[in-house]
Amino acid sequence: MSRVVIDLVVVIAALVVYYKVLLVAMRRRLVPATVPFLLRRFRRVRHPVDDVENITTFGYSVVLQVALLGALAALTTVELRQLRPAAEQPLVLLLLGAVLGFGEMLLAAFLGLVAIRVSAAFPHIGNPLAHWQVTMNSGWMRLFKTTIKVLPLPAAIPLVTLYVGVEELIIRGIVLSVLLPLGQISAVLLSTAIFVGYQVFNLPSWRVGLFPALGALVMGPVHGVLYVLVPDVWPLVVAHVTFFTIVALTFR
Amino acid sequence: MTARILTPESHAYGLAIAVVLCLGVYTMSTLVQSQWLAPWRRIHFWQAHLGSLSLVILWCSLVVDPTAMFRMTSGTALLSLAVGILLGVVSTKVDRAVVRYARRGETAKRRGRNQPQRAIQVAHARGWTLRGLRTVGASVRMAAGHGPAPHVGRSALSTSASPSKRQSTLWLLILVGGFEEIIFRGFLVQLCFMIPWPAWTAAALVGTVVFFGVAHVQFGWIHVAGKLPLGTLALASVLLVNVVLPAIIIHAFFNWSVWRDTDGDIETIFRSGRVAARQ
Repeated sequence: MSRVVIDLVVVIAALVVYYKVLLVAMRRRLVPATVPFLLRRFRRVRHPVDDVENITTFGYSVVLQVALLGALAALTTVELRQLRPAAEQPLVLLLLGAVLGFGEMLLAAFLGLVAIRVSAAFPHIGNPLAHWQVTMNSGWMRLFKTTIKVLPLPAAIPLVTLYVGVEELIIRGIVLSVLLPLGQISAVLLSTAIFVGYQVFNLPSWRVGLFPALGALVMGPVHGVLYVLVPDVWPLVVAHVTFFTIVALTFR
Repeated sequence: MTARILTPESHAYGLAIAVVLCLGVYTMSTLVQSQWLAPWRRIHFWQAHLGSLSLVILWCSLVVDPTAMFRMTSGTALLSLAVGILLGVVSTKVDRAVVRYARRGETAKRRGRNQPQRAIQVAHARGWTLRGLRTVGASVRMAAGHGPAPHVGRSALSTSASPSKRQSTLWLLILVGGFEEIIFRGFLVQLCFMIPWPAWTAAALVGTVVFFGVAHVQFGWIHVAGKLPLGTLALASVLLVNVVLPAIIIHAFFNWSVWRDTDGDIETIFRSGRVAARQ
């Protein structure tokens, strides 16, 4: 039990350092230092400064996220080789993962619609309907969409897939595995809470974080229960990537 | 039979997919109609909804025994028929009462804003939102003295749908009602009873009723309130008789009464909801 508590403290500390220190430092120092270099280097390819800034931020985020995965694997009892795909990864499970991601997107979109309708009933705290379209495309989604828009697809797709996939490895592969000794239900609930917090940490307002949080509220329990029943994280990675891809393509 | 050919791992994923598809079927219908099929073919929401419901039922049949919800003796069938018709009448009356009660509050508020009274009376009779009537346009504008409106499609007062179209609309609505009951009171109830803890099963059953009601939010919150009694009565009938047939009869009766109230005009049935969803 003490090892579980230590692992939990390590995970939370690592996430806080990641969000409060590393991401903030990245946005305040690294990105402003890198953007002028990129604008000079790629003078012929003219893109707005905002787009270059968004892509740079996203690129650094991917690197930091992979580093976070490595750090968590090094500091906790979960080893990276436990997260490797099986030698004979069942293709059926990966296909089912894709269908699962599609279904989760439908449910999360429905909850988003209900949230918009509920907020419309309270005009002093909600957004007008047209503003939700803008809100949906802000925050992290803005970084993803800019990356897909500006970079060539053979570069953009692996980058976005890597980010989304590593997120699943962190939350289900490491965080949930660390929490399992506390009990399966507690582990699923706690990992869902951490997953929701992961989506909305450091965002400027609750409106920007609403849709990612709803997606996390759907995926958290479903993926948590499935990982407990079938300890294979890769179909869940496929589900997460599918969820995100359909959202990005459908809600433009 | 189908559930037995899946590995335990695949079965677990299949069940999870069944749950999220059942709960997300309305979104699938909306996206199919408004985004995925729209570039190639324009179809009504109800047609997309029927297609989506069929796909979800097909999936659920692969992982959950679909025959269990229909196994009945002749006595059970007769009881289902009686319970279904009785509760169908009750749920229709309750829905109309809820909508009428809610409309009274709106009328009192809007009376001071010089809204066209004739259109409001029609709205009360049909249970439509005033926003829906605005989009329909013609009757409201004429009642307000703005003169004939440009053609915007069928109005709530129009009965110009041909008899064959109205008949096919009836069958469409009855099928949609039946399929929704197979999903919400058939498969989802079976999935709820797979939960090993009775308290969580009870909470999940209540959740299916609430979700069913909220799924009608595109028609407006008043209609969400009207669908909660329908869902409750349908669930109660299934738990009482142990088959899904009474719930299908309840919902089919309910949809038939909606069809009758709107003269079988499928445009009218959906247009008020589409406006409510846009606002």
